[in-house]
Amino acid sequence: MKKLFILLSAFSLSLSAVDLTVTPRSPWKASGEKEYSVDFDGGKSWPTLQIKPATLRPNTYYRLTFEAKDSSRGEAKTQAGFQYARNGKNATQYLQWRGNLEYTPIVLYFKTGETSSANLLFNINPGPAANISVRNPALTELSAEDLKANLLSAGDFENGCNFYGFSSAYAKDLSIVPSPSFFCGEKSLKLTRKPNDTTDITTSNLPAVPGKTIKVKFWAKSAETEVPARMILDFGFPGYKPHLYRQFLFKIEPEWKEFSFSYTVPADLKTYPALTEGMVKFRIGLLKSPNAAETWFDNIEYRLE
Amino acid sequence: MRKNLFLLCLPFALAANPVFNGSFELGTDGFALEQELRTDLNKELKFHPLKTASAAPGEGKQSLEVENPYAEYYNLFSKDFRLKPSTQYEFSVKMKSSVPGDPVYFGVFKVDPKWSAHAKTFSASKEWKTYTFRFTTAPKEGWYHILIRPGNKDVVRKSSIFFDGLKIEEVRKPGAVQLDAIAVPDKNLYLRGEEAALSLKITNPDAKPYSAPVTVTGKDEYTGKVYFTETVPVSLNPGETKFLPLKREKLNRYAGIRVSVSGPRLKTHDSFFSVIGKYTAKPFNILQDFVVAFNGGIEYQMAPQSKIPAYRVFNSSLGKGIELFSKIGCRILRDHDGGVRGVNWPAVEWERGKFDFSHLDRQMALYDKYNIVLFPVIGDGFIENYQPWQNQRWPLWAVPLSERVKNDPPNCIKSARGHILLPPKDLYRNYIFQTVKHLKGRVPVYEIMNEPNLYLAPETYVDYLKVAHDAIRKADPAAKISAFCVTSDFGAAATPWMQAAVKAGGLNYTDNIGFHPYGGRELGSIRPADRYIADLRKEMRSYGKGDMPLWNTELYYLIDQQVEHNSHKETLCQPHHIVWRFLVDLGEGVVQSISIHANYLWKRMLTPNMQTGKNFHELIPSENAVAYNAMARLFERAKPVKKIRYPNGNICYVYRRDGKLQAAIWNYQKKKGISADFSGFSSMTDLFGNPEKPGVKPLGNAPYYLFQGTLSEKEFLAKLENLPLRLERPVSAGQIARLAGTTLFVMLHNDSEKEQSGIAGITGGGLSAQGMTNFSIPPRRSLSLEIPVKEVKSNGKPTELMLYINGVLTRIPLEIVKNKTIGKTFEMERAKGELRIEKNSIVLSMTVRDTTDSGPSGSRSPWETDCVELFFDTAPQNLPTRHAQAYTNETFRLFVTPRDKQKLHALGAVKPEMCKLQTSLNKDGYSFTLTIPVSVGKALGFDVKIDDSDGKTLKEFTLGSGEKLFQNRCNFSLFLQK
Repeated sequence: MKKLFILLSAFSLSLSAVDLTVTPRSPWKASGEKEYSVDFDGGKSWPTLQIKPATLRPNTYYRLTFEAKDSSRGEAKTQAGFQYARNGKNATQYLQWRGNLEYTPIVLYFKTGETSSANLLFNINPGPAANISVRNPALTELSAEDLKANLLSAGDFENGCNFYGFSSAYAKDLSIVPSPSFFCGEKSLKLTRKPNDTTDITTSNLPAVPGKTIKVKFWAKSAETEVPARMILDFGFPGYKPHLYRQFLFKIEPEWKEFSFSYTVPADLKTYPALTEGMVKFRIGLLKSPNAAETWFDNIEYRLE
Repeated sequence: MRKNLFLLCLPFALAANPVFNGSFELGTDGFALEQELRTDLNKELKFHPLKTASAAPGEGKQSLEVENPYAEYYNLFSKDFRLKPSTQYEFSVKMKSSVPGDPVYFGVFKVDPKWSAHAKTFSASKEWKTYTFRFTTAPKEGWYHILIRPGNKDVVRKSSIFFDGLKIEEVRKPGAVQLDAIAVPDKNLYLRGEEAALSLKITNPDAKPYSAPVTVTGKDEYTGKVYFTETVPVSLNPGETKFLPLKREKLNRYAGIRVSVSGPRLKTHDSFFSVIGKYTAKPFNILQDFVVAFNGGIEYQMAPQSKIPAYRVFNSSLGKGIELFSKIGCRILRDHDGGVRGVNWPAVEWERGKFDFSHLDRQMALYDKYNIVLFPVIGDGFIENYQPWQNQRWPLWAVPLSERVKNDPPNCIKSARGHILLPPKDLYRNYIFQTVKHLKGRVPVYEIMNEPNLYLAPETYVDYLKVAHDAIRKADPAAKISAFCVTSDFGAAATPWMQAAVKAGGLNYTDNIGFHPYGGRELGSIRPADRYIADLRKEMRSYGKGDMPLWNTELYYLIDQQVEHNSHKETLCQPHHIVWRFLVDLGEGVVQSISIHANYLWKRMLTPNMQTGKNFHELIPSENAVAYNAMARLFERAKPVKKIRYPNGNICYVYRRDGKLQAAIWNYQKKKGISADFSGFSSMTDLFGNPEKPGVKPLGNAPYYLFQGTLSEKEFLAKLENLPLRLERPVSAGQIARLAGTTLFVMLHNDSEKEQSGIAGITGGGLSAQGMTNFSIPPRRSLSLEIPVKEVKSNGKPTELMLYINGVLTRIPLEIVKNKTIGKTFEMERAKGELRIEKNSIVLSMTVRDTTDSGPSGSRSPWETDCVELFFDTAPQNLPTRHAQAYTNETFRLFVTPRDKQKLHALGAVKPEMCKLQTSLNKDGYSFTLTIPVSVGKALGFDVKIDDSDGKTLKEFTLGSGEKLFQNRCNFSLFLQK
């Protein structure tokens, strides 16, 4: 279902909202009510915006929402860092996010470690220069019920996008375009592929609770011919072995078709220790074939049951 | 050719010429001659076709000659072409005549359907001269053609005129020179099994040589399938013309074939030929044997159209059309709208007391030669001819003796009011008697007048019908009479008129009833064709004449489309329309089906974009002719046996012919995605009669014919009755959707025997659904969906409803009707109101500003006085698959006339006596409160029209913006309950 994106502000009436203290470190500065900006020169300064949550609970999922604007249209290497403790060690996860010329809503998910201590930050890796702004950061704790809802807030691509190129080589294969006659809405995600090549896009981390079933649904169509494609649930995490992932193959046809897949996350944490992190990346890719491929996706849903 | 290089150097260089074959190097292709053969000078009525002669200097090898030894009026047409809007062009032609000073008119015409022309008349000399004129095209782009004719219709000279170098070029814009090319068959009508000899004709007017592959393709005009294709390498020097023979094509299928040429830098003209089966005319009984029949004549012209009686011919000899009809299988021609009828009073008694049957005899001779029976419309002419294109109705001497009807009856159409002339009955009787006596034994049935319910009072008709009847019985006792000829054309209500005519004794003077079913054209019409006939039969039973034979004697427009009546578009029928009407009339027991005008059998090749009925100019049998030929070969003399109606708009008529059963089956609701399994039938064909292999076939517009073959009658009928049908699309939708604010009302119909669930969405046409809508519909039920939508930037595509059911996506085009939404209170010009929905009633209060009293209503209808017209629809979300705009049982109208004695009138299920009305008058107007005892659901279709009359003029004000509320319920505004 296409939905309007609902922004959760720090002053949300939800009981699960977590207070945040945002500290811009130069050259970041406050540029408005709950708005922070930086004029990034592309250098190796890693300018940082500190976001300190008030109190967090251990082993709990949280959703960070904010809006971002990027004069380089997503070329700048913006990321969120999440510092937490796992297995007695401090760890930092970096989650890529990308803004656009106009403010775009962004959603990131975290799971705290065995302690309640955690920090968040935004910084920018060396690379393209840009003027970056973020506003209305909000952190919300997710309950078991919350996890059953569609966790891809921008799965209809009307306002934002949860996907980005799996590697920088694939970043240009993805775009948000006027919808080619989908059931509803104005925009769809377009994914292209050159002849005899592949392409892959991925989400940032999504909650994946061991023992729960991931249910994925989406719609896809191709321009003219059938296009072989795959969906991967990638449970890989730095520092863990083995790398668990599950692949689903499907064929995209010239008319819109609904695809749905499900997978029960293994509960065996000894065999799959990465599952302790409780996260997965949801990837979609187009497989190699002799012809160039032009495909569209819409109404992508990810739920846990 | 250095000519073009020279022209390009001129200060005002001219552009490429869109006129096909204007140099006539390819012969006469791309041109056609209509001519009026004079009966005084051209005794043999010989037609001189266009031919080529030696060229004008600098214009290749050939010119066009119009040989006119009998000083006959002619119209020479070119193939049509596009010109840019608001652009200056120069017309030029080289011309000479055997008679110096011969005035010749040149016109560049556009008929879309408004007629406009840029024209000039020149006097030809004996030497070749160039004649030019400039013109600027209209702001609207369009198709043009050239018309050449004598400069003065009344003074045509015996001459031969020659034309060459016919050009139209854009001023000040040089363009690329193109080669003219056409592939022509050796004839336009073949029998199946013959071979077509085609040749590719191509001419190069350029200064450069040409070398390229040129492809000739023959396509079935109806199915679009390629019949044959051949690519030929062509090389031409500058100025060279070649005629290249192509492979001979064996013609194994009945079809109408369009032959096209394609290649680089070519300006082309398509040719056309039809392939029919051999038809052998056998004797038949017109009163019993169902045959192929048309309306039409042999285009006789008299005063006032032509000072000298003449026959208009179309690029062929007189009688060619009749010959072609006979080859197709036509056996009856109803003489109507085909020039002056042979039996018309002015034709037989131009001078009082002097009967001249020469035209009639000529007509009969032609018909006899080609085994066609004349079915004349006799005694017709009561509407005086006051427009220049109308035939003389009564002889000039009889006009002053006739009585002009002063008080036209209510059924008289507007254009005939004040123009009805009643001739003296003795003279009328004598004319009919003499004519029928002359024809004794040769004409089996006479029709008395055409569509009299459009202009004569029923009693007056019966008076003259009796006169005609008595005359015919005396002159030829064996001849039968067809009368009444009631039409539902122009929305005429035939039944009240017919009742009155029957009451006046009309049925005593006829042997059968003619009807024109314009109000019930197809099985899928609002008033289905079979119900129309059944209603007429029921009406005849009420008169005690249930067995009286019914004849469909005219239905020019076979299609059931929302186009302007009598427009060019309305004439555009296809082969399936042809056979539908034939098969339905046959299946419903109508004795004869004389539907279309024969003009629609000719393929419009030269000027298809000239939006008028007579835009054919040459007699090339079309694919519609092939369809009639199939009817003649396969269904002539068949008798109806059974009708099987399947679900989802599928129909099967079963007939018996030559002792065996056969059937025709098709889908009349224009539904897609339905197929039938014909395995087990031994013999079946397509609508043209081409063999089809029995198996699973899609059911659509084009009927299949099934033949008993080796099956017994019982087996054949059982297979038909149990025919397995498959639905690819179990859910259909009404073609109309109603948009009220941000809600789109759509109706889904489950055409299957199972519950259907799925997802719906909207895309295109500037609309997008705000989300996917889930639905579930029980078997054979309908469901109204309310889809939240928003307006978005248009993607250039029309609005579609998308339905996703069982993994299959279907797109259904929607026509969106935007409705105004009304609140509990509303305001409009001259009034305001309040609408309340209570448990089982609607309460409406209104205050109207109207200071002028319209006076006593008299015979005026309520809407012609001071009136508030109210339109209600208690089920506006009910949107059937077809004809959603037609009023339903839930649609009704009320008329509040507060200044009248009777203050409330009604149309529909709700009657005035069921309602409660309180009115009050005041100095500014009036107000009322009306309580209507109906239940309303979530939505109410509602609209208001205020009529304000001062006794002389009438002003109207409407609440909503919808048009034609009196016939289109989907245009009512909507009141939505929250």
